[in-house]
Amino acid sequence: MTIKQPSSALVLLALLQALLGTWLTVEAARAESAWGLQIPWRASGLTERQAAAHLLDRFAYGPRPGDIDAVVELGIGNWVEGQLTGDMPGSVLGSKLARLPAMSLSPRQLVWRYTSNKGLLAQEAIAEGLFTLADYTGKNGPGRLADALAALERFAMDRGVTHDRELVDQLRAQKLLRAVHSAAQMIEVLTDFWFNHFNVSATQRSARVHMLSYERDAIRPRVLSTFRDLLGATARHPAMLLYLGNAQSVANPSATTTFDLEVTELDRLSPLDNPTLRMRLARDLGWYNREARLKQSTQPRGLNENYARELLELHSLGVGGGYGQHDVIEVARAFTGWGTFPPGGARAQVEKTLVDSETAVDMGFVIEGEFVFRADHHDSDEKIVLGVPLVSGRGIEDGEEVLDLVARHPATVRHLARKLAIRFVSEQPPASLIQRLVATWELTDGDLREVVRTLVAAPEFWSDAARRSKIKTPVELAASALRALDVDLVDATGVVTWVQRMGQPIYAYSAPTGFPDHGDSWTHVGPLLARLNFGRELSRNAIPGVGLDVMEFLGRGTLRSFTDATDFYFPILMPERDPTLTLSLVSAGDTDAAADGLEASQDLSEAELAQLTPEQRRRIAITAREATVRHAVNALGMLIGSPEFQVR
Amino acid sequence: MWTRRAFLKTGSLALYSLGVEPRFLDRVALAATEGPRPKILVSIFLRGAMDGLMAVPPLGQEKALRQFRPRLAMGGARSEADRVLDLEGQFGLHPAFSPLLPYWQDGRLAIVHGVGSPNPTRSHFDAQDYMETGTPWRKGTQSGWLNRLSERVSGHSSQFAAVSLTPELPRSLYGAYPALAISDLADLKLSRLHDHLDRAAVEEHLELLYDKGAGGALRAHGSDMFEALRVLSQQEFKAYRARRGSHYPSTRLGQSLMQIAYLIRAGVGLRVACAESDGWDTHVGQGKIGGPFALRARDLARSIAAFWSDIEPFQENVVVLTMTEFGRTVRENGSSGTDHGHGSCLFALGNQVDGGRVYGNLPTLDSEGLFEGRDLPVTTDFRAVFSEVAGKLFGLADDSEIFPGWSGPRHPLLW
Repeated sequence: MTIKQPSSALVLLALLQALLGTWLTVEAARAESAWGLQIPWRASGLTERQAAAHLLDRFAYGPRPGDIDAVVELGIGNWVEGQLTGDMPGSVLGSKLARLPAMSLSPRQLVWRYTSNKGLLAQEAIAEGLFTLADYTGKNGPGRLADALAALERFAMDRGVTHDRELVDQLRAQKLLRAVHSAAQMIEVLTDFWFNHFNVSATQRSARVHMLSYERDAIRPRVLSTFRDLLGATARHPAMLLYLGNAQSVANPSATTTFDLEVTELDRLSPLDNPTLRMRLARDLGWYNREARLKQSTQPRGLNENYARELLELHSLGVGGGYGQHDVIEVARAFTGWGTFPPGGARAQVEKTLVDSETAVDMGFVIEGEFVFRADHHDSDEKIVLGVPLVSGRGIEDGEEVLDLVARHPATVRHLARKLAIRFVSEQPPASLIQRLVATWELTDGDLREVVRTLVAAPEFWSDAARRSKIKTPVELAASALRALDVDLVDATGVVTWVQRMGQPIYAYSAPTGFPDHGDSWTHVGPLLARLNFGRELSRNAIPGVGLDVMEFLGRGTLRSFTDATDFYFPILMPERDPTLTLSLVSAGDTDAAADGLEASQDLSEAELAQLTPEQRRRIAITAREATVRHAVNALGMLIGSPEFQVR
Repeated sequence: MWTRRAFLKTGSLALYSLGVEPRFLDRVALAATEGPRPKILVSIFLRGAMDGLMAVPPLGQEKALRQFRPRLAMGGARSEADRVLDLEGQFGLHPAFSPLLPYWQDGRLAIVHGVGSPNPTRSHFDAQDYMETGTPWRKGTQSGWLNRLSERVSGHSSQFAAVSLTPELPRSLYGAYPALAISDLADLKLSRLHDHLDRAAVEEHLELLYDKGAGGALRAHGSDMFEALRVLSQQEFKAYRARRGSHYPSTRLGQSLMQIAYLIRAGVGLRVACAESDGWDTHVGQGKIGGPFALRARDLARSIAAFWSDIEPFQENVVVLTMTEFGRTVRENGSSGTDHGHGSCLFALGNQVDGGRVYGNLPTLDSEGLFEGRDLPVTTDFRAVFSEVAGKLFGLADDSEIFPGWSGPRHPLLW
């Protein structure tokens, strides 16, 4: 199982696979894990509880009360295996997600239901014959216009059309609900990583309606699959195809399309039938005449290189991964035709023509859910990608072969190994760790479950240098605070607002690079101030949807001072962390701590108390309670904003 | 009793005292009189694509305009009802921009026509992205051009060197340089806690924790943040009034520019400021003298005019630059609006601006002269203008630092 050189690893892998089949390597890994994954936390001098806390800081959104006990009881290796295999106790998440109506809709239902584009809706109403374009644009007089607008209103109402902003709201809410309440914490953390790696943004209006499905259907189910599988799912998803414009990418006019080829082939086989077929397709598809379409400049015009470029630069090989502009163009050509249904009124006709149509299949079209491969847009001429020729005369296979090529490329493996190491271990990941990840990746052909096992089993993960070295993202900060305080998140909207204020525009980071994974870039003045204010607002229970009772942990106990309260809440927020520095600074700043807080009367002896009237005693009790709440809120607010809580 | 103690403690706070910074009015006086003042670029992004043809129509092509846009063409400079302002012969100015006319007349306002991106995309998202990254063919550019500019011109001299008056960082300020995005400076404070009497004490603890209990980025940013809270005193900000005669609209843009003026006058080290105006995507009922276009145009002009008079002592050092992702179709659409086009125009205001001129030229309005038979062509790459303004204002030699891959000539615009 040891491989020294990554370059020889590929060759070796091919041999291994040919001789023994992938079966063997996977089984070997399984056999190892059956004994409990060998996890070297002890070597770093940690207690088992400290190790559990670190693990929950990295592969969960922080510990909830009792989580550390549970991990210790289960055993660290078993917890990891449970998370990796989906064997974990149920949670309250289901009922919370059930309150978000979009979560259970199919991709097609989502498109049907959510839009903010009235024009497209009108097109659909026109396609259904509710009124004519002339009615709608007022060419037939104000009476017909008013009727058309009223009909459109009814049309929207009957269908339950909702503004797509609400869809994004639900998408954001489910992220926080899952982060706080999901039992499958590792899946959530990995989904966050991979979504950000394959970032798409709601700021791109046409992609917006597809984003919920993108995360739910393309990414989350594949975070423990193979990289190739995950990459392929993102490549085919309308959210990505629209966000990076590939859905508008069309073969250059000089190229022969797959569709042209098929028609020529038919010509040759049965020249008599063909004119009829040609005409029928031209009529049904409506888009057959590419020349005419190219002249209408609102329609797609030629290659769009964006997806091809980001596929190479961000999703796979990485900057400096050994490709040139020539490769970008060739990859863009390979992906021509990868798109989705057109929006609005045109969709119905396209669906009618292509879905379940044998002719369409024969012509090279591929329909799969919302994914549409348009044979008439695909450049079928030969391409050369990264030195590998893609033979001419094909259709969707071109793009698939490019994905095969880049998924297994050594530059991709290094790029991804490094990115994972930065996210889960340290912003300056040791070369030894990256080597480990590369070795596993190559041995298992990018099995992401095995890659996670390697991360957790790496001594670098447990090292002093790695622990507490990552600054929490705003989502991580919010979720970890709510989890530590055992909050029952009823409505996530208020927390989402705070996450955005803290500088993380979830699902709306407009650059395809994704939200940067360097704490330095999200903790400057504005976002840091928002973090401190988040702590303060949370501690005084002023964030809507969050029912926090600071006294829940205290029962009938009292807190006599701010220092007392800091002492009390530190291990609740940051279990197994060393409180010495924080507490010493707080008590140093709180010089008259002992006296600050409760009235001196609190220190009355039993005998002195006995001399007070019941009314006086009651007053003292109330004052004590009020002072306790005040100290609790102050201390919690400060601790959530403290530097120690910002790191994980 | 505890309250009195807490109060006394607050009074004696050394770390959090305001005494170290000169008070606002002193700073204004200082900033207004002392030696070389920093140059400041104020960028206003007009989101949705401003119709450059309606903003600054060519004179003498009224007939063609009426043919292309029967419901939107204005009446030329001599018309009665919907007259455009005459910019000395060749061009008119939509009357909603009249608050800017004085600056045109005294040569401080310039207009560049036919500005846009070489990338002909008609997607708002893509076009804004390309303009804000400054790389019209690359989506993956991590940083925005104003972020790179801020890094280049201000080092890390102030927490307020790059400020955007928006709730989230605009794409132009994405990047490594720590820019501040805040929709209202009044929010730049620690929010209240359980009891305001404890507030100072808890703030003091936080500052101590960031100073002595944190390392690396957190310590540096913590120090910046507490410094920023001291520099921008909320008391001063609340008491701030615009100069006499400077009337900001109560719109988002007006309020943003007022706050930028405050930062300039407060002398807190501002170098690059961003404000935004949206709603320029006038597909439906664009209107002429009234309507959504005129509404936005008036807001823009009044906001800029109020801002400009507000910063009177600083005008030497400030340039205001507007930008928009693309223009709109020359032909009006079926709903009395215009659709996504290509070239548009921009405004540049500043004492350093060689103004009173419309730069660039418009083609003859016929299908031969138009881009793809429908839009104003782009005759000036936006980078040629942005690099001129940023380069001349801040004295930069190498434009490719700010606009990677761009080696074109600057478009002359500043003295």
